[in-house]
Amino acid sequence: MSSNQRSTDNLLRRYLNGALTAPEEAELERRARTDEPLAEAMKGLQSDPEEDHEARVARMLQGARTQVQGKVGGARVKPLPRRNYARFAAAASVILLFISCALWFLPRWLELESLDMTMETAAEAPLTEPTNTPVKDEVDAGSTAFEPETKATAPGGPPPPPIPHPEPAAAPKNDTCRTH
Amino acid sequence: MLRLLRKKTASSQEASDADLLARFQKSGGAEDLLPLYERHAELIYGLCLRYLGSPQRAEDAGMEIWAVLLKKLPKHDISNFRSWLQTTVRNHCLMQLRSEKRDPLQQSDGALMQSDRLLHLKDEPDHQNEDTRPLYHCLKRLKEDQRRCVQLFYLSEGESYQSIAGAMNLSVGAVRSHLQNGRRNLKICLEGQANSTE
Repeated sequence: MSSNQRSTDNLLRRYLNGALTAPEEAELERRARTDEPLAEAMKGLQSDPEEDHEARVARMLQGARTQVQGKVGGARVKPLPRRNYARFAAAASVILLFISCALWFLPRWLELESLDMTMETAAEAPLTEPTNTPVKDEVDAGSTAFEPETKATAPGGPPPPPIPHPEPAAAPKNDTCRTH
Repeated sequence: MLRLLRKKTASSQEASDADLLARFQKSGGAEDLLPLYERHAELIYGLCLRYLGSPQRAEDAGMEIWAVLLKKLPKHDISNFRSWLQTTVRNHCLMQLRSEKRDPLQQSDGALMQSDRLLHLKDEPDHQNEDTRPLYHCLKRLKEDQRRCVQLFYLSEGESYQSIAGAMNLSVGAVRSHLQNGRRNLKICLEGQANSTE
């Protein structure tokens, strides 16, 4: 970069931030006569002299610096390749299919399971009822049968009463059977 | 990271446009384009303002130019970056205007209003012998703010837009505007005086 060019950029910067003096302004305008880009830029800037151009240029630069810092310091965010969308769509459809299958079959499976359980409990219920009753009778009978023994072992006690022998159940009176 | 960027910026201040351009074209990294963009940001903004005619649009377009440079610079063999930049900015702005069906040639063509007499008022000794009475006559006819700004800026030593803005309790933009309008009015007045004497 030539010193002349650097000076031009510097003068333009000073014009925007207001540090320009009268001789510098004259120099800037002299250069604008031979530097077409500078002349065009000066025409643009002079079209709105009251505007705070420096702040606008600062915002422009800030935007560029932010982008650079984002790329240098932060992770580079790359757009996803287009083919990945197809993969995501396939994966999503498989998941949806799985969920819909689960929603479809799960109630039925649960229903069958509960039906089996009720059938099993229904099957078990009549077996348990009769077995319990005889046991109870046996226990009752045992206790009554065992009772005299305990009394007999008691020393010095009164003699145990005679064990009542239960009479055999009266046979149904059936004259026809006897006659035969 | 900021230190790294500052170091790069400091080294790039001495480099030429061609060197910075070659560095960016070699690396392709945005951080290598930044010094070039920073150097020409004012020019880019001024050009955008020239073609688009609105400061807000110029700022937006200036930001878009950053992306345009990132995309286009690696593909082009550029000998004169400044001229190439002007063409690129102009094409970008014209494309915007074309999309809005606006004719850029209809925009006001504000010429540089600096009067030669004011330009070299103090620098060139030839003008010291000139009759400055028409100039002072025209100065008196300016509006108060314009006259004060012109007198402080052109007839005092070492004054800048900022110092005048501080002295007159105005913004830098207002001082720039008063100076620009004052120069234009002075030029018109002086030309009128010259024509009347002829």
